Amino acid sequence: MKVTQLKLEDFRNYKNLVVDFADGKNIIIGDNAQGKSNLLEAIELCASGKSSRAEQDFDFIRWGSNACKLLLSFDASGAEETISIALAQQNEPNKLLSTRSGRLQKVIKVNGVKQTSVRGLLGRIPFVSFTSNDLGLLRAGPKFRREWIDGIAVRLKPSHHDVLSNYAKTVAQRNRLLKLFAERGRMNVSDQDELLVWDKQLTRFAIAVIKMRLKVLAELLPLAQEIQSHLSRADELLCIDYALRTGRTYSEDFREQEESDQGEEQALNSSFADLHSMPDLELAKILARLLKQLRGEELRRKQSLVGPHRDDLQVRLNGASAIAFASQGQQRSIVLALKMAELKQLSETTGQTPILLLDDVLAELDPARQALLLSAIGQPMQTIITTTHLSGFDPKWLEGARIMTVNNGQIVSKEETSAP
Amino acid sequence: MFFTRPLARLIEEFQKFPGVGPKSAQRMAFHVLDLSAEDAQALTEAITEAKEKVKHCNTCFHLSAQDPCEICVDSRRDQQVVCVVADPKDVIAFERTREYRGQYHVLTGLISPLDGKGPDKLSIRQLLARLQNETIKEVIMAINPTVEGDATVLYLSQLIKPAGIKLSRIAFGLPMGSDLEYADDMTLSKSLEGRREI
Repeated sequence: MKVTQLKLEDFRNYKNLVVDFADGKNIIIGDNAQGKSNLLEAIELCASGKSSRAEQDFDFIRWGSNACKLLLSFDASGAEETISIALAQQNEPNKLLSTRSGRLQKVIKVNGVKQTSVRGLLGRIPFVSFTSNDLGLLRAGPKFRREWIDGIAVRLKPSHHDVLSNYAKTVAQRNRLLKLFAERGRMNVSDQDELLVWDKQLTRFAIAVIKMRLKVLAELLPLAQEIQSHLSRADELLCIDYALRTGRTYSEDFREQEESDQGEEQALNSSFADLHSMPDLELAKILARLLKQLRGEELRRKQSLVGPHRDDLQVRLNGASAIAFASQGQQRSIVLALKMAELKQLSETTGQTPILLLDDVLAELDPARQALLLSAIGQPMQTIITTTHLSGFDPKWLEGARIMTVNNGQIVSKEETSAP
Repeated sequence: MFFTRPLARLIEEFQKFPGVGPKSAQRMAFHVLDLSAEDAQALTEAITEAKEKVKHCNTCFHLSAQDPCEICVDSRRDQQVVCVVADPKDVIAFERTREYRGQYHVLTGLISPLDGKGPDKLSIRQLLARLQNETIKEVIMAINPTVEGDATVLYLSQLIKPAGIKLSRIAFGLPMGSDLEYADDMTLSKSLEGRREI
């Protein structure tokens, strides 16, 4: 899998741009705020329909314009295919076009054929993106880790997108209902019936989301453990716990439960492997228990507090919380191991070599880790790297790379270093 | 201002129609201007008449100019089966098959708190009354497999099941003439779930 060309019109700071990518290493150099990351963002947007940087679709449109277009060409086992995304501000008679709000029309095309939803473009370009933001994966809020794991899940299995969107819809519906009941003050029998329906819906989709996360983790963790032990050259055991509910591990919830009814479900402990092998019915019981326990709190806060949108991943090193006890360097190693595992998992599952997008991340790694990441990038893998300077790269590694310089929304130079 | 006021107003009105953008609205408005005086009169009359006469049937909530509607008064139809749908358009879709010869009940929407639609805003109370008063033995739910559709079916089944009435939901699966290879996973797994012994 290779991306061959990206065309941008009024996207971010690019008025008009055509970039051709080399099959192997592509390095985009430029000072800060020249538009390096925007190029990677454009590729990510075409490949996943999402950007981790934009808060709203309006952010994609260049200031002073009211529409933007992206066209990404890629080579899918010999055949050239395209994905295009066009965003245009809707004409609204009473609105000045200069206001950056209102409705945006979004047209997604795959090979020129209009798609009814984002779903149509998913899974066509397997990619892994690694940005300097990702280095904070362990420290960031739980939302960051949830989006990370769900993002992997969708890239491994595009239809999971439907499950996630059904789950999000269910939570939104249920939150509205909680708000309505909270404002009304009391619930009658029919209200309770109605809430019960949304409890059931929530549980059903929650199980699908949680099970998928656990499946992804079960595959990813052994790969990451291997890389991690190689990186640290020590006996460090990397583990990931799945916490049902932010800030509390499953074991903590369970311990509380155990105190209240001793003896039941003795065999369970905190490792996610147990959750992973747990039958859906058992998981449904746990969720039902949490829902019951938190009903009052949910009504008070007018929010659904149970379900994968509140869950978290907790990374442990030798049993201790990585956030609390691992050094900065160790944390970086862990993230690097997870990212490289992601790459391996994706190529093993899809049977295709993914594209690797590295945004400003190499400069953040020390030479040893940098070398490991770069050595993992073999020639068959297409890599697009942004950086502010080339000094950190081993000249030998740069052989055969295409180096492009970006300045103020334009590619000002392009050179091909001689192949070894 | 490109259009004279009456024309601009007509275009604006057409643009409020579902699926009609500025260009189609303009084309429709110009078409109206091209109509003969009689045809234009017929159009306004058709709109006024439809708006005045078409109402919800008070039994099944289908749209009709008479109450009870044509389907409810048709004594040749099976009085023991009722098909529950969300929208009058679904009744028409079913009637087109000429397969189904039972009664209907239109819910006039689906449960969706975000749109302010609770069970009390739908014709659920009236459906339960029908189940109590009429000789209905079977209820078929023909409701879309969306988040809101599933919630509505769950809600109804909580209420209807205890009454001991036979309850079913239409099958979901592959469209006729389609290719397994191109079906999405969601549809495939649904159709696997709803497989039948042969």
